[in-house]
Amino acid sequence: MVRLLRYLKGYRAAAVIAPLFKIIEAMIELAIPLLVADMIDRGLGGEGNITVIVWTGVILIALGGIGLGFSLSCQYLASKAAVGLGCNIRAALYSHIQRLSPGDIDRLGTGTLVTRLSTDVSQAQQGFAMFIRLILRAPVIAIGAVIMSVIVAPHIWYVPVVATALAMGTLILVMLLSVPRYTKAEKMLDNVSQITGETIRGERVIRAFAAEKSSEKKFNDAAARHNTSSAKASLVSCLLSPLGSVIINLSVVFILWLGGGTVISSANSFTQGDLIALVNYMSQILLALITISTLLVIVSKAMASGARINAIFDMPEMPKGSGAVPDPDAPLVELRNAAFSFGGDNAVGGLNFTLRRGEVLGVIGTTGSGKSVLAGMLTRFYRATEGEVLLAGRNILDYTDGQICSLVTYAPQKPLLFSGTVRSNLGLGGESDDERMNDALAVAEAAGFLSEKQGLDTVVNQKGSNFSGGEKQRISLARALLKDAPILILDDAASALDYVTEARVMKKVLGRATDKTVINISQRPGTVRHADKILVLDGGKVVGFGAHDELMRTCSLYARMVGSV
Amino acid sequence: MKAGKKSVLLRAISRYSLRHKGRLICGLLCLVVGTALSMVIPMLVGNAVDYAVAGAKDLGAIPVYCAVIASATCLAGAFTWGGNVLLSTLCFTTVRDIRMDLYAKLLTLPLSEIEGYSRGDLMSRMTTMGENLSDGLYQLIMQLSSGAVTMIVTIVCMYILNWAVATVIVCLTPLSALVAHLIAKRNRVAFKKQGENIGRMSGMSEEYISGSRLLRSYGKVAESEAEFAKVNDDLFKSGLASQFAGATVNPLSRFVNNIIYAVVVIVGGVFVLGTYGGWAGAAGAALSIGGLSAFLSYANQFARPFNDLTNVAVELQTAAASGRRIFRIIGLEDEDKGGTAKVDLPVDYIEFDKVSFSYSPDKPFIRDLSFRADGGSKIALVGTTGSGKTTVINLIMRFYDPDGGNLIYDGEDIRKFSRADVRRSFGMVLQDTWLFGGTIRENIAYGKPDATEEEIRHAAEIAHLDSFVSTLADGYDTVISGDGEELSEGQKQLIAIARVFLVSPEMLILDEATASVDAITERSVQSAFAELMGNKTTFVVAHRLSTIKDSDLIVVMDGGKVVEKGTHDELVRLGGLYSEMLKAACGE
Repeated sequence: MVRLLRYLKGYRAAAVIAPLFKIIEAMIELAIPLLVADMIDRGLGGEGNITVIVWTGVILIALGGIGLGFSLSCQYLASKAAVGLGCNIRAALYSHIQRLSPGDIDRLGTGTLVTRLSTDVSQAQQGFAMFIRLILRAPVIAIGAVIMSVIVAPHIWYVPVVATALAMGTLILVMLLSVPRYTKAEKMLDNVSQITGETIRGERVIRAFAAEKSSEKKFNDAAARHNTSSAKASLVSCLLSPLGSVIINLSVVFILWLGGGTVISSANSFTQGDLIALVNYMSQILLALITISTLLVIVSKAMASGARINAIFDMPEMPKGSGAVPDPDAPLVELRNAAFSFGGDNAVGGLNFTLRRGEVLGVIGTTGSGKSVLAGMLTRFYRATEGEVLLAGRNILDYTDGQICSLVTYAPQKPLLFSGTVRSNLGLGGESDDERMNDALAVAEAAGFLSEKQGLDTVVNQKGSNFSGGEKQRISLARALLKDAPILILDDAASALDYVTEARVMKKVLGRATDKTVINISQRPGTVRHADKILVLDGGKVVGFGAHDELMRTCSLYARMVGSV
Repeated sequence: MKAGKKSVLLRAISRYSLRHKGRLICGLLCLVVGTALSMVIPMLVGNAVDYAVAGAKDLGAIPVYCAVIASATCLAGAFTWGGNVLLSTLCFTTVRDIRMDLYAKLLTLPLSEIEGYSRGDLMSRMTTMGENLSDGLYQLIMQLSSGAVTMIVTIVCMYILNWAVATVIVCLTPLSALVAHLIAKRNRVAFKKQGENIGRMSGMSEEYISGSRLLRSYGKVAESEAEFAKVNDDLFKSGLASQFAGATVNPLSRFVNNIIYAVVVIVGGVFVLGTYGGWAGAAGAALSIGGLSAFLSYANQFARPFNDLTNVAVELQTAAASGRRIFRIIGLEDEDKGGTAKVDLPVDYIEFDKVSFSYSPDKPFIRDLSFRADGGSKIALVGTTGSGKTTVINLIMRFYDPDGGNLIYDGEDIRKFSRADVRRSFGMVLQDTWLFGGTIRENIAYGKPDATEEEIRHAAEIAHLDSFVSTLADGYDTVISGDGEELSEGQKQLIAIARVFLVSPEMLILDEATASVDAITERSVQSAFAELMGNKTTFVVAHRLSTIKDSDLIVVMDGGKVVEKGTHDELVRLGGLYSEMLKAACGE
């Protein structure tokens, strides 16, 4: 959490001034019992003095007004600092996420990252606001009240001191005892959550095996364990406020007991007003301590959120590359013994091939064979962990992001359309000419179904949810065609189309890309068959490389795939 | 309308809470006694202070008061603690019961209902929203009981002390309530705006993060950052407004309290003087210095329930929203259990007769679907993603019911049989293997928990799983995580096959079962399938045409319709879509 404070930039002054204002307000609060004591002694002592009483009342209201002014200023500054901190963190976190390796993003999941940006940042922001608002106020009141009561009644100084120490000790003890219990209850809730998730994933299987009863039993056990552990935690944490009250009220009893005599033998300076002031200070101490304990809970939640946010910040951004000049004579794509691993075995390895302008490479393999990782290596989403990837004669690592973008176009299997219109999606690569857009849509056979809607002006919902998988793929293919880059990667980009349509679309798309290097990845032998070279992947390894006819002879897996279409 | 919604929710929750009447009543009693005792203490202290006045007659009263206050304090502490514990566990238990019913719903609702919600949504209803409900319920009970008792006891004590000053305080209280109400109202607007902006930010970041690859490959990251910054600016404005709105509650209510406090000082002081002068006593409103000190304590405490209510208002709203979303699921109609006719195995045939079906009424999907699967035959369903193959499986398994036409199961309408019986007659292996957190043994024995060790091993052997399991240090006791991350797709698939073997069902359904398996494991999986199928009636959904060549019937689907059906040879001879697909698949 402390590390996140570097994002306080622009709000530092507010974050420092806010607690200072709060201290002034706390001081005013501390003065009130003294004023009342004075009023009781001077205004009500002897014959009484009505002027003192009224003046005390007026001063109390004035002080309240001043306190309100300071306190509202503090709240405003604190809110500004906290919200500013939150927004700065959010912006930095978003930029950071967009610079993480896509593999890391996949592993964390979009949902988790969105939670970090929303819930966790809000939590941290809230915690920070509470922190600067109360962190000084509560202790200042607690300690101030102890000091004031010692000043008021020096000869029984030990009562408030001991009582406060005891109450503080109780608070710490209760917190220490309840934290591990809450952690356990959390864990039990995780179990409940896990079983729920498992059940939703397995709806069909559970019903197919008619295993509803045993699932229910498993869940009910987990829910009961969570219930028990929560109850155990509350057994301890519910002690806090009653125990604090008991300690403070007992100290009031002590004060009465010890002070009662002193008041009577009024030779001593201890007056009735002082006695009432003491009682008031004790209740201020109690309130402050309870505030501290709720503050600790909020702050610890904020710390947990902060830690989760920091864990994302700790993940390395992808290095940028300093820029390089493409060599127009070199092959567009060259892989030298390249491999990539997520940490364990190579996800894909042993990659050696060279592609020139106009050449088409087919890549075939099943799910998990490493095809998409290969595509990721060519877009630098994945940085080769072994060997080298060269684009236009230069190591891919040397290029800037913009340069890679102008060299490579990538059409993914799961095409993503952004909310907007078909036109805004097609224009992503910078194209703005309707004519050319319509032409690309025709090539990708997307013009047909779009003409039934509003053509280029057809609205696209979030994630393109108003289009079927096949329609999205075709729009995405058209978008890829509109981007002017010499390397085109089609990653299972027409897999949602039926064989016949796919073949037709692919033929037209490839016909438009004769001046490019195309890497056409697929699970279907028919899609890659006519490529100049075909790379056969299985379980992350290259098991065949060559033209169709050659592979039919030399690669048994390829022959089997073709035979088994 | 709104009040109606609230009362429906409250009634639903109290139905659960009232199951634990004893705890509720004991808890409330403890809390009432504890709160009342602690509210009496300031009055007792005030009285004691009067005996500490110089010249007081009864010096012996101080020790008595000390003893009384000390025991009231201890009793109040004990009762409050007991009440807090009883009521908080009551809330936990209530939510546990609600969770159990919610979970049961996950297994009894029609799949069509469940699939209308995302997994994350349902999980957050179960966990986060359950916790919200539990917290909110606790706050509600506390505010209603402890808050009310605080007010009542304070009023009574104040009127015992002095009716005139008490009336002043009671009259000023609406001021406090008014301030609390105004703040709460303003906060709601600010919080709503903030909530909307958070929603916008989440939606945008979800789109941009899941599209991260695309943004990068089109060089649009900087543009997305600018878009994000715009929303973030709005979030700053609305965040500041809502954060500050929330932060004004305490200072403002403290200020109102200070005013009331000051008024009590003046009015109380005047009455104390009046007591000296005799006129206050004449009006039956004598006030001692100790009494004034008690009033000062009460002036602070009296307004607390209002302030607390303002403070927990947001929490209560969150809880109410969470509760409504939980009960929306619990209130859904269960899937009917189906008919009562007995399934008479073996099943002679299954027939689709002009079946139509759609997932949403405005989009017709399956139309005029007809084919017949004879007992012991192998039926293949072929077509692209979205052509309706998996839907056919959903209909056979009675996960969904047809909208029109007849689905005949063993000569009778399938609706005459219970859903559970129909489902049990099939063994099912899907593309996404479902494993749960537990040992491999438990996962294999899922459909038959009382299976003997021998049976389990036998099933594993036939499924070609044995050799793999024996390489694991803990063998069949190896614990796997819920998603089986430590296993390959193929290994997971083999466990699923062994699982089906163990129950040895009458018929089989294999839905794209080898789609994510690498070539080497695929061989084991294929031969395991061959063993499994034997001469059982089998429905195979496949995208690789070779695996289905020897099927007794191939049903070719496109856009929810059967385009052609027949054996491989017949379809090739027909020269229709199937043969075209075959050619296209080979690249010819």
